[in-house]
Formats: sequence, C-alpha cells, structure tokens
Amino acid sequence: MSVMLDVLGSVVIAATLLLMIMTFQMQMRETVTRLHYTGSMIEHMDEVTTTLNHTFAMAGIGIPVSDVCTIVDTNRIEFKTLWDVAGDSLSSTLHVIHIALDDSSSAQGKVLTIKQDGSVIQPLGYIMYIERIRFNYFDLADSLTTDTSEVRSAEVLLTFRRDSPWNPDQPLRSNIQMKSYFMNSYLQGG
Amino acid sequence: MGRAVLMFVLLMTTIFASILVSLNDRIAGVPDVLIENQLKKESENVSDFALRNAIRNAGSVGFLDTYLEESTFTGILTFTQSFSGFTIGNSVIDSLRYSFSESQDQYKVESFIRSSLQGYSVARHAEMAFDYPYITALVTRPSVIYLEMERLNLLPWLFKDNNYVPDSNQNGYTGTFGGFTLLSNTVPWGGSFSRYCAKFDGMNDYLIVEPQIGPNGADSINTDKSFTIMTFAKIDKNGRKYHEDEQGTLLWIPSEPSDATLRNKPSAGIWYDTNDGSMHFAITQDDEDNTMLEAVVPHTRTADIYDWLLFGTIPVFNIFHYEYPWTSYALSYNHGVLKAYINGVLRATVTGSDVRAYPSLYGLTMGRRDLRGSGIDDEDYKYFCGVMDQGGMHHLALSDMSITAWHDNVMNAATIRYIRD
Repeated sequence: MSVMLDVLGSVVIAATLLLMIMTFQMQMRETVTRLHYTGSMIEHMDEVTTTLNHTFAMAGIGIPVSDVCTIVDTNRIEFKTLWDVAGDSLSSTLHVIHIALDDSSSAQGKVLTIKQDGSVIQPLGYIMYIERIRFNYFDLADSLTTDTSEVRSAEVLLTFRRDSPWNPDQPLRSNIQMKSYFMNSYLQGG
Repeated sequence: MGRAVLMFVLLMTTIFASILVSLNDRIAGVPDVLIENQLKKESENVSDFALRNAIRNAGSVGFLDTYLEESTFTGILTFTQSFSGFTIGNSVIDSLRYSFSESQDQYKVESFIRSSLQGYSVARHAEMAFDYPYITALVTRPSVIYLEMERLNLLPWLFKDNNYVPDSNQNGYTGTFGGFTLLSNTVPWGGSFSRYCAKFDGMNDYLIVEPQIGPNGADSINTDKSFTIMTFAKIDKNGRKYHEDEQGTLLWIPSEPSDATLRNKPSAGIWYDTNDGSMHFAITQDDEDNTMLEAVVPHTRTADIYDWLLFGTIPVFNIFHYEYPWTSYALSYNHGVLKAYINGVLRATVTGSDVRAYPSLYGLTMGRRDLRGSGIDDEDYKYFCGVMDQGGMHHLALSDMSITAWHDNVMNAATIRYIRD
C-alpha cells in the first residue's frame, strides 16, 4: 500500500512540477515573442520614418520654392526635386516624387509607396504594415496650409498594423507622429 | 517500464531543448535592434556635428588661411582634411572634404563618418553645397579629363613651362600647348561659368594630353567599350587663309599614329571636314578589319575668329570673338553604338558590332590629328581654326539626357545649393 502511495505521490508531484515548468515556458515564450515583435516593429518604424524624413528633406532641390509641391492631400503628396532619390545623388534631370498609401490590400496590410517618376524606388519604396496615413502641411510660419506653393513642412501620422501572433482577430497597432521639414526648400531661400 | 520512462525523458528533454533554443534566438534578437537603433542615432548626431563644423570652416578666414594659404580660387579647388583617431563615442570622423569653385563663396563640403558597436557598423556621408556650380556637382561632369582652360598663359615663348592647362578632375591629365603663340594660348571670353578658352590658329596650334601608362600597361583615358568625349568650340567659318580645306580637328585620340594604315583612323575623334561641310564623329573598332564607325552631320560654321595677313602666314585674333555663340560637340560609344551630339542634341547614331574601340596609348589631342612617323605633311594634321573650351572625356557613355544637361549647364552657368545629411 505504501508503495502505491509513494508512486501516486511521486506522480502527482512530478506532474505538478512538469505543469509548472510548462507554464513557465509558455509564459516566457510569450514574453519573448512580444519583445521580439516590439523590437522588430520599432526597427521597421525607425526605418520608415528615416526614409520618409530623408525623402521629404530632399524635396525642392533646384526648384523655386513655390513650385516644389504639386499635390498636397491628406493621404498623398507629390513634389519635384533635382535629387535622384532612387540613386541618392544629385541629378541632372527633374524628378517627381509621389508618396501615397496603396489601397490594394495584401497579406501584410496596405502598402505605402514612394515613387520616383512613376516607378517605385528600391529598396524601401514599398513600406509594409501600414494601415493608415495622414498628412498635415505647414507653411513658413508653421501654420496649417493646403496651398501647394506654401508648404514647407509636413506632419505625418502613421498607423502600423501587424496581426497578433496569439490572436489574429485582434491585430496589434502602433501609431507614430513625425514632422518632416523640406530642408532644401528652406535652403533655396523660402 | 524502464525503457518507456527513458524514452519519455528523452522526448521531454528534446522538447524542452527546442523551446530553449527558440527562446534564446528571440532573446538574442532584441538587443540587436536596440544596438542598431542606438548606433544609427549616434552616427547621425556625429555626422551633423561634423557637417556643421565643415560648413563653419568653409566660411572661416582663419581656416582658409591656415590650410589654403597658397591656393588661388580658380577652377575647382579641393581640399580633404583627414583625421586619425577622431573618435566621438562609437563613431569615427574619417575626413571632411572641401571643394571650392572659383571663389570662397561657392563651396561644397562633405563629411565621412564610420560608427561601430558590438559587431554592427554604419557609414554616413553627408554633404552640403552652397552656390556651387551645378555642372560641377553633377555626375555628368567628364570624369577622366576635363580641360576647362581656366589659365592665362601669358607670353609662353618667354616663360618656360607657361603653356599648360590643368585637368579639373585632378587626375593629372594636364594639357600642354604646342605651336607658337605671341601673347597667350588662352583668352578671356566673358563667360560666367568659364572665364578663359583656348585658341587655335589653324596653322600650328594644338593641345596634347599625354597618357599615363599604369602598371598593367593601360592608360585610364584609353578607349574601351563605353566612353564619351566632348568639347565646346567656335569653328572659324573661313579657316586659315589659303589652307581652307585643311582645317578641322577638334578632338583626336589616335589608334596607331605611326601606322600608315591606321593613323587617320582614330580610336575616337571629332572633326569638321571642309570638303563636305559636315561634322565627323568617328570610332575605330578593335575588330579584324579595324572598322571605322563614322557619323557625318551637316554643319554650318558661323564664327569669325581669325583674320590673316601676309598670305595666310600671320594670324590676327578677333578680340570680338565672344559675340559668336558656342557650340558643343560630343561623341559617345557604347558597345558598338556610336552617337553624335551637337549642342546637346542627338544628331546621328551608327551601330556596329559589339566590340571595344581600338585601344589607344597615345593620349588625347585637341586642335590637330596626332600623326607620327615619316611621310607626313603639315596639311595632314588638319589643324583646327577657332576656339575651344570645356574639352574632356567621360569613362562611360553618357545618356542623351546627361549630355543635354552638360551642355545646358555649361551654357547657363547655373549654381545650386542643397544639403544632404
């Protein structure tokens, strides 16, 4: 009898220990996955904001300040520059840069595209995991404007979205707000 | 029973190990992102600091006096300030490069930064141009040789070695004048981008760029499968008196100047032929027959650059030559396709087989053909009568757009200011 009790007791204790270890592992795994998700998302968001900021900064090189922007909508912007954004060098030809949210949904959500003369630039011309974008524009006095000839900076509000690894029905969203200055438009004297 | 327990333990251990490995990978990835971000931010800040200092230095009298005291601000003056161990945090400032064009007020500065932290490395290159000539800042500037003729060679017959123009690319392809000139080989013409141009009397003036043969036996101005040659010129509408049918060589890269069968077939050349009133753009291909691809474009000369005294033996330079317009001439060769441009506009295309141009190791000549050996008369040289400026060679075939841009920007003397950080 005592042998049976010993066996049962050890089985119960072993099972409890095993369950504790498994629970611990699962929790740890989830924590690490969250950390990894957060880290990779931060990296992605950092790359996106760096790219957007750089692209905006190169707007208007060699162009009269009032002629830089051609489209300034809340969900897209188009401007001119002598900078070859694709090659990241000064160019002899005028380029038209178009930034907009592509509504054709993919598995990764909507796509933010940066196009130069109608072609998506590489390697960061397709920006994934974007759900929403909104532009607000400001003039030289930092007042809101919608006049293409007055735009000197843009506020960009981005919503990133990724499906949750644990619950696909509840995607994880991260918002970021940045302000990009058209540095080269300022340098032209405007 | 014992075996079953053993198998169970092994299975559990394997699952446990795989979970640990997976966890380890994920945990290891988190600091990487943080390190990379930290490094980027740091290098950006150091780059800003370096560029701000470079901009301040470029406008500082003290700095210019210290480092560029003996220099004159003619043409493109470039100075690189290199550092050894200039470390800020995890970043190293390698160098700052200053380029001045014609004056202290027209400059471009560049900073070169490296950063590294825990196995990650980032390099940053920032630059800012302020009223810098647009053509100079562009890649369409001829990269191998660029003779902008920005040097006044007064009394070259009196002062020894006072008969050259420097290569603006600083590749050392100095152009040396030949022939006799009383006052100077170069003359002012009033342009805002270029102040001087070279004059050629059609009698014995020429400019030669000697080759620089490297250790592998090749010269970097050697013609290969892809390159461009170009120049601006005003071709005298009459030519040298009594020798009107002799004139016309603008640019000439010889194939074999001593070989009677090849000496008149240049590796690359641009010339005007008085017999057919046309510009000739030619390439000799490196095939079995040494095929010469030639584009012939009818052309009208309008400039009046020289008058002649004593039966065409004494040239008299027209000091009002600047009233006549400049014309640019360019030739590009790319894998068997020769293109001819006048004033930045594509005028002719000739297609041959996809072989390289005939290799040349004899440099480049402006103003006459490079002919060597015996049995050559003066008239064979086809001396050029007129003025030339902005002559050069690019190491690749420039696009139509780039050649148009080169022409437009020389003519318009545009300056540009921009910042990239």
